[in-house]
Amino acid sequence: MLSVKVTGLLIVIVSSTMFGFLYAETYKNRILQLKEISNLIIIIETEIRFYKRTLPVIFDVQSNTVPFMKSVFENILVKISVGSDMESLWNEEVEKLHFCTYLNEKDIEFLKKTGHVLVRADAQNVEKMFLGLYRELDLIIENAIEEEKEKGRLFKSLGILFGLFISVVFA
Amino acid sequence: MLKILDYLPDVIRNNILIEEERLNEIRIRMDKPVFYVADSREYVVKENDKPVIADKIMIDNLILKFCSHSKYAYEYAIKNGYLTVEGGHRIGICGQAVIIDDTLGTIDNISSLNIRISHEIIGSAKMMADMVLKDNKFSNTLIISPPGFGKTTVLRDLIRILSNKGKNISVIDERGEISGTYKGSMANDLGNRTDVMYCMPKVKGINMVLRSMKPDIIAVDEIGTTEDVRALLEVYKSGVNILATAHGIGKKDIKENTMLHLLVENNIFRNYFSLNKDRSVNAEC
Repeated sequence: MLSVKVTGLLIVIVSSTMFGFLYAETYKNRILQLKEISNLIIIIETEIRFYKRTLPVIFDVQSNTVPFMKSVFENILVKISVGSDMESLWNEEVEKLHFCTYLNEKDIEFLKKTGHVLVRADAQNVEKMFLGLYRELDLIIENAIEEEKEKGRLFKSLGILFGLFISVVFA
Repeated sequence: MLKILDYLPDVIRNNILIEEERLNEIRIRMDKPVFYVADSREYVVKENDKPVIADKIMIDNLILKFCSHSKYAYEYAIKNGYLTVEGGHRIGICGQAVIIDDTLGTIDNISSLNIRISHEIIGSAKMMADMVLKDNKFSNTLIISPPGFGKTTVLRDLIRILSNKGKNISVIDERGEISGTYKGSMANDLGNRTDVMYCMPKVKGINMVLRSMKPDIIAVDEIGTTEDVRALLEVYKSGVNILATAHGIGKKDIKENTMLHLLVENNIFRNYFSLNKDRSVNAEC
């Protein structure tokens, strides 16, 4: 009987600790995805500023660069060929990232702003518009790192503590 | 390939009651009715018997579509007052000039569009080809007409015929409308021995192909500036043949043109063809 109880408590402690660690991991993954977005924007800016490629061409070529953006690019390319408006398509598609990435509301808003810049940029303002995007994204990444430090540690500790708490209560 | 009508909003597309092959142009002006010209007759686009009025949103969205949602990629063209879309259709634009450091930066607040539908009429220059190519020797040719009389259509067909008769032709297609080149492939047939330098300023393009492509003939559309004339004089001196078009009514206009008169005085062209509205051609030597 005691061994069953000990095993049960151990399972509770291990699973709650794992849950805490897994939850903390989402903060790390968000930073990784934001950094991937940052690299992608650099590539897109290069394509725009130096090669003057059009957005459909860029989306086609870069659809495999960042795996979680693949569906965004591909869906836009399909829908744009029937004459839809690029900016609203972009917004519609990045909104879906909420359900399949670690990005939060703020990050999605940033992506929407990126879409606006891509569609509205002209040769005169493209450099400045991208500079604005980089500044904003750097700030978002900085905050995400801070958040990961604070909340990551918090959820890891909470996971362990919750497991211990349950063990004490039911011991 | 996208047809020109596919670019237009439903309210215009559904109310143009003539097939695209017969369309000559569509004119869209802010806060004014939309017109289209087919078989040289003008019509108003109407929905439920009321004229369709274009607004700023309609024009802005059209510009974005024509630019593949990438205005930055069409900056050079916009600055020069036009856009060329898939199929070689040219869209003339008017709006507010934005001056940056004393030079024209771009055209903003675009308020008028003139969509000129490009047509490929195979065989339209057959008679002309017989006159300019004798014993397989081509003599320099200038095609003259006012806008909208079919200069580019005739030039395109003449290039195709000459190319298929063995001449290596380099085409400087500044606006991409001769070849209708889109993403590297040509919408129009320019023959088997034709090389196209597209979206390239004329003078720069002429100098480049002269040095690198060893053409028998250099073909350019709508010459008119001092730089164009200088570049063509260089081509002439180098022994390469010239096929060009210019605005005017006949040879007399070219002679009196402040810039193009040099071409007549230096006997650059052997053949002058002036096109009439009814598609007839007058030949002068």
